[in-house]
Amino acid sequence: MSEGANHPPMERIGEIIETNSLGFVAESFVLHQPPALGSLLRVAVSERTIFAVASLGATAGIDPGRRAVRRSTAEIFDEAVYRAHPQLEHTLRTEFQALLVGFRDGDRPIRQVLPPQPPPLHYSVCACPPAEARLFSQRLPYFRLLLNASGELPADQLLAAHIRAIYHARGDDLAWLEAAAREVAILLRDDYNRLMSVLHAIEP
Amino acid sequence: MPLKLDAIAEAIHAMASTFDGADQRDRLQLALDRLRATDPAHVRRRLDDPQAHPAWVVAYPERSLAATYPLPPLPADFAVLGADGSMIEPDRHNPLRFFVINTGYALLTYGSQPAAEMDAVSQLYYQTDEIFISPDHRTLPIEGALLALKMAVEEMNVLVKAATAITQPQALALRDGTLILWGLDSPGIADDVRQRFLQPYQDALRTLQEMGVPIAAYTSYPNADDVVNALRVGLCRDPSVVCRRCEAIFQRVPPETPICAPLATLVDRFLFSRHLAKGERSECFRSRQDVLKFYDADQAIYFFYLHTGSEIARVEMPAWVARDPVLLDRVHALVYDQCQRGRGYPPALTEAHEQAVITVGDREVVEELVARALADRAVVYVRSQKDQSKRVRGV
Repeated sequence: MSEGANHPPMERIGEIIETNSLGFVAESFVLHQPPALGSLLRVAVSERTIFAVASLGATAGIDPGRRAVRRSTAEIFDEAVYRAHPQLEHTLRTEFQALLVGFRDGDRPIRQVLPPQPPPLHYSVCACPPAEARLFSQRLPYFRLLLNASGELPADQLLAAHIRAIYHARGDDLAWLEAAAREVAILLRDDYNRLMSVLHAIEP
Repeated sequence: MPLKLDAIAEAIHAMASTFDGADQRDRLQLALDRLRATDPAHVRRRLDDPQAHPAWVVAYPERSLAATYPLPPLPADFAVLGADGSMIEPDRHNPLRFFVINTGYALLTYGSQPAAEMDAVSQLYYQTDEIFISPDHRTLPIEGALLALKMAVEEMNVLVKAATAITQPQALALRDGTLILWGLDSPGIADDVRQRFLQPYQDALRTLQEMGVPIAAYTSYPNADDVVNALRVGLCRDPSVVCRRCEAIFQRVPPETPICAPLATLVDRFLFSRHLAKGERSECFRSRQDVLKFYDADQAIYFFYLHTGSEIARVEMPAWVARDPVLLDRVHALVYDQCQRGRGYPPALTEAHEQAVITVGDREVVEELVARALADRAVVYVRSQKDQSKRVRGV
């Protein structure tokens, strides 16, 4: 199962608009559709593939000086608001954050450490196809990167969301889920409360 | 620090005490009574008198004065195209003379296929014949009123270009402010200079007319008093409404005031906020603004007032819209609907404005690019000493 640089082009879901060594912020191409929380993402930078985990989604006005205002009426609400105000598709945007969890140079083995360089601004973000997600999640040391992250989302909730996303990407792979639970138990052996909250959240 | 707020605060107090609500109410009631009682034919006769010389801009009531029109039904599918401009004015402290006009537009399509297209057309003008009128002879720089005219023409051109993308048969083009080019009678502006702006402007109006896209201009919180002035003409006892002659009556002992004086300083907005119900529009009046004498008759400007639900707005349109009941109804229905969608102000104009805005940051970038381009040619970018001193502000 080789996932080299020659695979067919993948669906681009966003473009990087902020980046650093720990993670990036991308603007989603479709309003209100950031990648699923915890799902595995990829950024191709010439021969290198950088892997990241979606860690937060948010939608707000493009111009920070223009806050969203109430648009609904008794008759027009929810999806109809967008039909009645077609400019919203252009004045709002959905962003998502992602944490870097590994990289791979060409066909060399996947490394579950932070990549030497952050992904460049304006590069494309794609969802990892299930085969690649399966390959990446064969080994679990990167859980540690997620647990140590200090994002807006509590790290244990992010890890739980990620485990659920991979479990489904692997076709509800129970054996993998048990291995992931054991890994979490090792990582959180000194913090019973966080351990239980992750185990509770990943229960199939 | 330099504004002496204590002195201003005292004056603000004094200013507030001069506001006499009761007096205002009485005069407004008089204006409302006159609106309903004045015979429009009488006002027309007085205005048609070649001797007439009112001192103010007077609405010409081709039909009625007081008629109101209910909100027409909204079409199921329609589009509203808004345009708005902004500019970087020529900077006389800069060694290069140039200006930038940024015209934003927003085409909003409503109904079964909602869509939005928003963009801006940015243009730098720097060629001698772009920034001066007849550079070799009169060397009239395009700035101030002339630049405003230039921007109005650009807005019209962008509207025409963007209108070609309209797929809805029921469309409306909208501009912020007015369709009346006030600057056309700026002092010293010769007829050929005037035509340089007016001709492409009227060409654009005509193109929209041929495309079947009515155009209107929208003024929020208008300060115009054209209709109040028509009521003053109706009251006037001078044989031919020559305001100059009333100056004499101020000299009498005891001093008197003209019969129309109680209506002075009232604006149409007050009048129609009492006269119109939500969604209704006023009669459509022909503007007698002086510069309109330069317009072709088929592009003469008309206006009505509209109760948007939040305020009284003034909506202007050319004669071919005002005289076509179908187009007039469309303007009425679509402008009102825009105000409902935009919480009191048309979203097509809000979004066009957002596209047009040139931020402080953009201005700095343009200046930086100019400086760098000059540096590439080994020209040192020296700004005026006065400008330097304002930027540094040393103590």
